[in-house]
Parts: sequence; structure tokens; C-alpha cells
Amino acid sequence: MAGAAKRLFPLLLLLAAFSAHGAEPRVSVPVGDSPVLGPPGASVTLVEFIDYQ
Amino acid sequence: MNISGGSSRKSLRRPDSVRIAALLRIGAAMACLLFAGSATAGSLARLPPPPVPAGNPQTPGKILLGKKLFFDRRLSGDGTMSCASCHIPDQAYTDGQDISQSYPTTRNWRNAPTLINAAYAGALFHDGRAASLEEQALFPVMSSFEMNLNLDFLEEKIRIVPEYVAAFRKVFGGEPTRERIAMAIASFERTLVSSNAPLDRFLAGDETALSREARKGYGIFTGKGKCAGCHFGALLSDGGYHALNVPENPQDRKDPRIAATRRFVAKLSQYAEYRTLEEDPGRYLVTKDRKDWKAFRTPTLREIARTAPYMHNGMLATLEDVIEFFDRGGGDGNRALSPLGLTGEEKHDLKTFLAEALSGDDIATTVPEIP
Amino acid sequence: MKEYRGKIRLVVKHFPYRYRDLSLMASEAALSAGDQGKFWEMHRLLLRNSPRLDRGSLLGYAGEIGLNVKKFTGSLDGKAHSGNIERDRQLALALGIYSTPTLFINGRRVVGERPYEYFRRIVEEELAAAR
Repeated sequence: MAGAAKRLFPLLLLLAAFSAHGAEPRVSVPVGDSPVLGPPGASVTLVEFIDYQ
Repeated sequence: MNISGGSSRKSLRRPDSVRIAALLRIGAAMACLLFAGSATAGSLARLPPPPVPAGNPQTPGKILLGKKLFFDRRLSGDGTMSCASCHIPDQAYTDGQDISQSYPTTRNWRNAPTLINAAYAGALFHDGRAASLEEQALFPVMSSFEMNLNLDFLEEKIRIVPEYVAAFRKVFGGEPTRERIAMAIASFERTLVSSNAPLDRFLAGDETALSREARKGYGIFTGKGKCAGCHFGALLSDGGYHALNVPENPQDRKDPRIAATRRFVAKLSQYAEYRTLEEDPGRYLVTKDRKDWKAFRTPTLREIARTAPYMHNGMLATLEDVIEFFDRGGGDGNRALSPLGLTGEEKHDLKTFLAEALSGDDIATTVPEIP
Repeated sequence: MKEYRGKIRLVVKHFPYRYRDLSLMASEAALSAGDQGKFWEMHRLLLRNSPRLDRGSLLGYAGEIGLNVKKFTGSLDGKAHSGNIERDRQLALALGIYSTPTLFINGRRVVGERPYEYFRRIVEEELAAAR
């Protein structure tokens, strides 16, 4: 996860990428130095906010 | 804000909020009468400002307090759920699922309706068992398969939070009670209103508010498609109940947790054969009137493009599915509908109208700081 | 996740609810395991064994996945990652997160636990959009 730290906040897709469903808002979430599983070039990024309990 | 059951037989039928709800109901009923008075079957109308009951006037402080409570996980038994678990701002205040979210390890049995424009509804829930937002708000909190929090405990949980105590004193001039909690949440919900929908601009005389196809779809909606026979007026709803015989979901039928939910609600509704009940009786559980068997409230169609899936159990995934369902004349054995014989093009235009005309401006909701 | 190997990536951020006694310490445990290169191993154990997340259990998990337990314990007890967790928490509040789990799939918000099919549908839509 240290590797990910050096990457400059690869911002997720944003700005009005209107899907077939209409205007579902998109939020830009910085990856930062959080643990990442999967390649940096992946076309889909899932950012999960969790609580283990 | 789905179906609920209380912690006791008494609570489903008369939650303690009923006292205040009864007062509010008179005002709300009058507002609804006035409101319905402007609506006639077959024609649509522009959306006026929402009615506000005289007993619960809107104030900025009350709206903010209600918003905090709306997003606060304290309102659930184990701290996992808030009102916003099923009424998610980014999803037009639904949760986008066929059957709405449920308390951990249990299953709900109905779809979470949008809260947008709930302020206009004369009755809340798919079966219409609550007459006002104030009366509605506490049902899911105490429902065993939704937020599952005892209302006496709710009051104490709120009363130990100094910020809430101060806010209730300021807004209501007294301490937190379940009735005031419901009133604050209802006030917040009354701010969730469609504004500037293309339909309203069109009805105000702006022809360009709808595309050519949508205008044709409007013609189908109010004509051959017979949609406006029930979906009329400003809210696009007759406020009534109809048994369209939407099929039960076979998956849900097999789920023992949903069976438990169904039996529980039927039991609280004093339905004698609750242990062998295999389907959702809808409005019948409220009225015990045979004509209401499997009848559900006519929902508003405003914001429909953003509130899939559709019907009380979310059985229809898309607007195309909904149009096909009505074109067929509804579900097996129903007596409310007859086949429409729409052509492919008519279906397409109707869908364009539904998708294009009925969404208001985005409601930007900022999640408040929760004390 | 496996189904989409190479096409998707998962980022984990922490938003422990302050009224749960063990949430914060569990996040510390995951990040402490990460210091020894085993974040995901610990992550999986925590999810599988929740809510058994008391200190004793966490130390047990550390041993189970072959961590240097002494180092791990120091990090856990010293709250070595409180800064990271607080940063995640602030980000969560800024993004208007009010519930866990909350997932963003290419920025599309999904609140609460959903059936696998629900996530799959969105991931498929996003993969199709990327093509």
C-alpha cells in the first residue's frame, strides 16, 4: 500500500458521465495512501468505507 | 418508509404518535381536499407548493433538526440504519432495490418508495395506513424488520445528547419526545419536493419543455394509454387503491425470512390466517374490506425515471417493463385494467414522456453534522 | 472480485462508528498488519470473524497470519494509525457518508449491504462504459 501513496490522487471518473439511468450523481473520491487491491489501470475502481464491527 | 410492524399489537394500530397525528390529520385532510379539488381524472396539473399542516409549521430550525434525525443511526436498534439507509439522497430517496433494505438478519417485504413529493400524499405507505408524514415517521423506527428500535428507548437515546436536547428546546420549547421527533422528520421531508419539472413548464405553456416524442407520449398518457385515469392531477395520483395483481416475486416467496415478515405484519393486523398467508394482501390488512385484497396505493409518477424498480414489491425493473405490464392489462385475474394495444412507437413515446417530463431539478442534500 | 481480476481494483477506507466499542481498534489492527505487508489477510479475517474483535482476538489473528506479533501489538496499542483513520473519517464526513458500508463504484454511491448481483450490475455497466 506504500506504492499507492506515491500516485497523485487518481481521481475517479467525474463530471456528468450520464448513464442510461439518467443523472445519477458521481462523487470524486481520492485514493490517497489507502490499501489497494488490483491494478492501477483498472477501468473500475471501488472505494469502500467500512466498519469492521 | 416501508411497511412496518410495531413492537406490540397495539403499537401497529395506534402508535403513540397517533394523538398528535389526529390533530394534524384534520389539517392535512383539508389540505388534501383542496389539493384534490383542483384535479380531475384524465388531466395533469402543475405542482403547487406542498401543504403544511397547521399543527406543524415549517421552521428552518425544525427542518435542520429533522434532517439530523433522518441521517442519524441512533434511530435504529443496533446503530446500522437510519431513515437514509432506505431513502438515499443520491438515489432519489429510494434504495434502488426491489425489496428495501432491512434490519440485519431480517428481510423487508416491500419496495422503498421515494420521499420526494411525499409531502403531497394524502396517505403514506403502499397500503396507505398512515395519514400524515408525522404519523408515518415512527413506524419504520419501531418496525422489527426495519430500524427495530423501541420508541421509549429512542426517546432516552435522544435525551442523552446535549445538542439534541438544546435543539428540541429551541424548536419546540420542550424536551425530545417521539411525537416531536416525528414532527421534525416530517418537516425535513416536506422540503423534498420536485421543482421545475419539464411537465410543469410544459403545462405552464412552454411547448419546448418537452421533446416532440415526449409530447406524443403525453398524448398517450392522457389518451389511449389511460394512465391519467388514475395518475392525474398535480401529483399524478388519484390517492386511491387498486388491485392490479402484480405478481409475487417467486424468489421472495421462497425466503423464510420474508415469510416471517409477512406473517408478523398480518398478525399485528389481526388477520386470523396469518400463519398460512402466502402473498401480500396489501390494503386489505388495513381495511379488512374484500375489495382491497392485494390493492395498493396509486403512487405519484413524479421522479419516476429515478425510482426504479417499480411496484410495491419492485417486481418491474424498468419503465419498459411497467409499460408492458399495463399494455397487457395488468396481472392475472385483475379487474382494474384492460389491455391497451399500444404500438411499439406508442410505447416508446410513452416511455420518453415518463423518463423526460417528470424529474424535477436535482435536490442537493448535504448530510448534516450529526451530534 | 475474482471474476473481474485485472479490470477492477478495490480501495479500503475506514469509517469506524464511534458508538461501537471495537471498530476503531479493528481498523488499527488492519492497518498495523498492513505495515507488515498483510493488510488484506487481516482485512479478510476481521470481516469473517466480526464481531469477535476484542484485543485478545486481534492478537490471535495476527499470529494466525504469521505477523511479528510483538511489533503488531506495539502498533495496535500505540494507535500508530490513528492519523490515517482520522483522515479517512474526515474524508467520509466530507463526502456525506452516514452509514457503513458505503461503496463508491467509479464514484457511484452504494449505501449499505447489497446482494452481490446489485454490485455486479453496476460493475458491468461501468466496464461497458469504459470499452
